[in-house]
Amino acid sequence: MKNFRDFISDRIAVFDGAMGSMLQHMRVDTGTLPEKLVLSSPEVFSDIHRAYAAAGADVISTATFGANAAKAGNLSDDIIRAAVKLARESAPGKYIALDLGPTGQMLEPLGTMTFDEAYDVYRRAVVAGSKADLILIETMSDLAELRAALLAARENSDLPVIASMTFFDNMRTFTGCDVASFALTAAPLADAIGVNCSLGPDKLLPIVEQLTRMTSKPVIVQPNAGLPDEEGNYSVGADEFASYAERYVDLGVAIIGGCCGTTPDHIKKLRNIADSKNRRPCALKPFPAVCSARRTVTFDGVRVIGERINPTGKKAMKEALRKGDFDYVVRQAIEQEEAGADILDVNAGLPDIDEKATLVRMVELLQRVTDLPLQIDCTKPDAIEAALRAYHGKAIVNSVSGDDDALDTILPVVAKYGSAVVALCVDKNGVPETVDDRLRIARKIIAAAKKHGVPEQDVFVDCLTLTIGAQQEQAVRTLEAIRCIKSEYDVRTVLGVSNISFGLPERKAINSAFLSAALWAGLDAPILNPNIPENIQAVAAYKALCGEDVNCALYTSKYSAAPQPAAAQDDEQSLDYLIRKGLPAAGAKTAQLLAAGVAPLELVNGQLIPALNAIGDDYEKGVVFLPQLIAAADAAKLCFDEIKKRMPEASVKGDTIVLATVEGDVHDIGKNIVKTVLANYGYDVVDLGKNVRCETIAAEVKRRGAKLCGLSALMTTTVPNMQRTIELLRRDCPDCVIMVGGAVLTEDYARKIGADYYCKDAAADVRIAAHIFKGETLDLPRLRD
Amino acid sequence: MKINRRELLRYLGWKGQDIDTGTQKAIDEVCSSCTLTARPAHTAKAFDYDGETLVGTDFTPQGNDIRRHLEGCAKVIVLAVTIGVETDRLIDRLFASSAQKAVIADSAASCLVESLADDVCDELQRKYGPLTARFSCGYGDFPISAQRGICALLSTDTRIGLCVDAGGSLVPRKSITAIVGIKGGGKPFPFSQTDKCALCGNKDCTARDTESK
Repeated sequence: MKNFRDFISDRIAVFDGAMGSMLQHMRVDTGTLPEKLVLSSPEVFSDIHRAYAAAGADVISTATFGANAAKAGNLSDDIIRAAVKLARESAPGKYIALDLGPTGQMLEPLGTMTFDEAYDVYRRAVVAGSKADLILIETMSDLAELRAALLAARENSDLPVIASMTFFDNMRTFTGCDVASFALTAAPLADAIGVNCSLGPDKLLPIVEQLTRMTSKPVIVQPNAGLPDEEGNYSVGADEFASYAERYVDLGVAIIGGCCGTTPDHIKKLRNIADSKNRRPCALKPFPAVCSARRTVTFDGVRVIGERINPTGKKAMKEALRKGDFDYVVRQAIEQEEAGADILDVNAGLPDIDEKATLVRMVELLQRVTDLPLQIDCTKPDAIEAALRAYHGKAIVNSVSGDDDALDTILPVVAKYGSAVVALCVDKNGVPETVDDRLRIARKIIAAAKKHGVPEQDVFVDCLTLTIGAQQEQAVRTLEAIRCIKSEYDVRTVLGVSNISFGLPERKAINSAFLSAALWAGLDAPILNPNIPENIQAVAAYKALCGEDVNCALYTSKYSAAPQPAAAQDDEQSLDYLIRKGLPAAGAKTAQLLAAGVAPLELVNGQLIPALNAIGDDYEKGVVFLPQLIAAADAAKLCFDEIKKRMPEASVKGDTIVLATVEGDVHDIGKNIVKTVLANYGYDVVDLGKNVRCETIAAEVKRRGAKLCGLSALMTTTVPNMQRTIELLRRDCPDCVIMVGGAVLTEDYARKIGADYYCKDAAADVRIAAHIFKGETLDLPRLRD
Repeated sequence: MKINRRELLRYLGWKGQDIDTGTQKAIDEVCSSCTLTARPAHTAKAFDYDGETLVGTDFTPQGNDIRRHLEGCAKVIVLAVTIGVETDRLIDRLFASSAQKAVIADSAASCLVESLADDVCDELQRKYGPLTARFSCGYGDFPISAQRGICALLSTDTRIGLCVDAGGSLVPRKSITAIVGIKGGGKPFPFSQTDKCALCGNKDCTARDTESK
């Protein structure tokens, strides 16, 4: 038998049809794990396999859709081995596809399953099913989970792999993945990609149409026989089904089959189509693009890369990365997105931190709050690979230089994950001074990229900005190099802009002028600070001038809006009033007071803390309710931001409190409220996040020497993890006081699991902290001696 | 599916305090973005019930409370609803800019998913006749660990994008699974009644709506 890869190279292949709905039709009791029947009643499945083989399917899928270890536990390996054998014996001469469905759990950060756990579930399945001829990963909704399955298949087997996701009318999966993002991310890791389930054959058409234009890989389509009614009956008959399959084939689809509700009759019709039609050539229209799991950014115009998530020369970012204050990183991401960035550069290059771990953590957190694609800014191959593994999309790797070492170590990683890459025009001889030297290095990198399997359109050449204060002639050479490389290759260009004006006054003027010139020279992706309005204005003006912004519509809508009138009367109120009312003007008022000479500490102790205490008392007395308390905390935070700007780093350092939502729990609303409130009392609050491993919490508390740790849990099932965390803390950090809170906890329960204090609300946490760190009296009972 | 404002305020701990214009504005804004973000989806399936097990399956709802709740029902419906992962993302994102709005959004999203579950039950009641109240994992002694079985029975992961973590948490967070009994007669259950507290006997509950009888 030919390898399946060769088999699908020039023909239309036919897969089998439904399994689950056939069982239902045969009135087989399936319960919570239908695949268990492989062990107890294998004849049920062999009958179905034989029927599909007789109907003319080229490929028979094993009865293993839900047999992965996450769903079938210890039975998993036995079921999978038996199912592959059963399919082989029932359908001799056919290709046997190891069928792998979702784990039924959501990966981090939305759920608690880690990438490694998901990977391991699929690794086990791939190993157990190694006697199959190919691997079919299907009905996937989450690109993160699909990638875990794909990588597990790739790294633990040589079998051909097919990746199929399930889309809805809105052209997205349940987790919001769009067709282009799926194609860009999955195609480099799979031998064929496609869609199945969820919709009938008619509704899948527009999705299939889009997909066939977006990939050079063979496309598979396995629709449902329509949507089921409440009794589980499907309405699309074999003839109607086949009429749509013909249309798929005309669009260039290579593999057709059926999902829920289809029968051997449907497959027989597909066989006729495969035998009577020729395979259409690939319909791919190449499009240079990168993506996150939910947004594709196509380079059919200028796209802005935000540069702010980078500690180089940024005191606040350095401090945030050292402290592990990822909230600051997340805020930077959202600010840049709102200011107009299309892609975010992510850099963790600080000598005194673990760059790899920090980069991975940032990639994980940023994906949770922003849909913008990321640019991994790092030159260490192992850190790049770790970040790309954690990234659920097609990233840009920034960057590879012209050095052979760099090319040989970084490009294979870029190729494996199907990323794009920045080609930095430097090599061991340093920064080139001539246009020709820049081009020579660029050509070398582009050729090496091709050799490693990275196509030209995924290379982003950086012709390097040098400082005109030192080398004035270089500005023109950079622009000329952009022009040349764009005319010679189908590559994109990137350029960090602001370096041009280093050391000069009124830098914004030089930066804007240089940015405009570079855009006219052919710059596709400027790397800049989008929070500086002049930068975004220069890009918007260019788009209006060159015609990319048709009828100047975007420019007009962005800049014709009248500026918001300032809330003048708010400024006249006292700081106490502004905080207690939760008004954002509190920030400006603080800046005003500081400018007028009020000492920062006097402001904190004399105004901020008393205002917060007053609103805290009001909350306890029931004078205000939760949203009002939190609004005050939000306003106070703005004040602290102003104060921090004016205080030397060391003097802002407060007492450390570590907070975490315990392992297994993703419900972190209570913990987040506590964090917001505590941070305003000047404490150094370290938020470890949600679903934090027991060992991690203990290790972080120890490392930071924290005297107070707050743990939250919402679920009864995760309280045992809280107890385990407390036990570890008692062992490793005997001096740390532990306070606990969360919906399922009571004072008794907190005592039982060994906590020091039970917090019924955020105000209790504040009083406990004041007791521990400032010796204030506390009216809450200590639960242990 | 809609946000019941009174219910929302109750979740936020409101006990009749003055609501200033800033807070009111934040509530209005967040309610509208939560409603826009929600992607409601549901799935439900009816099973024969022999007082122990859902017939034809290997699923037995554990605990005395659920058994008592379903007493006398020869058929039950297992259902699952969710408003989707985008809402989880919205709340996470809001925390980075305004904790106040994030707190409101968390409660507003809870209102939405409760209301969705009520709508689905109303529809089921129209079809199957009078139903019992919804009974979910975690109520009484019906363990959270049953979530996995319920979601597997309904294939919620592929049908509505609803997953269960190893610890029994539903993801997306704003999701509900429940079992309702088909009573075969008697009075329909008032799923859409707006005053939920009036349906509950616990008069000492701290979260009780102050105006409920």
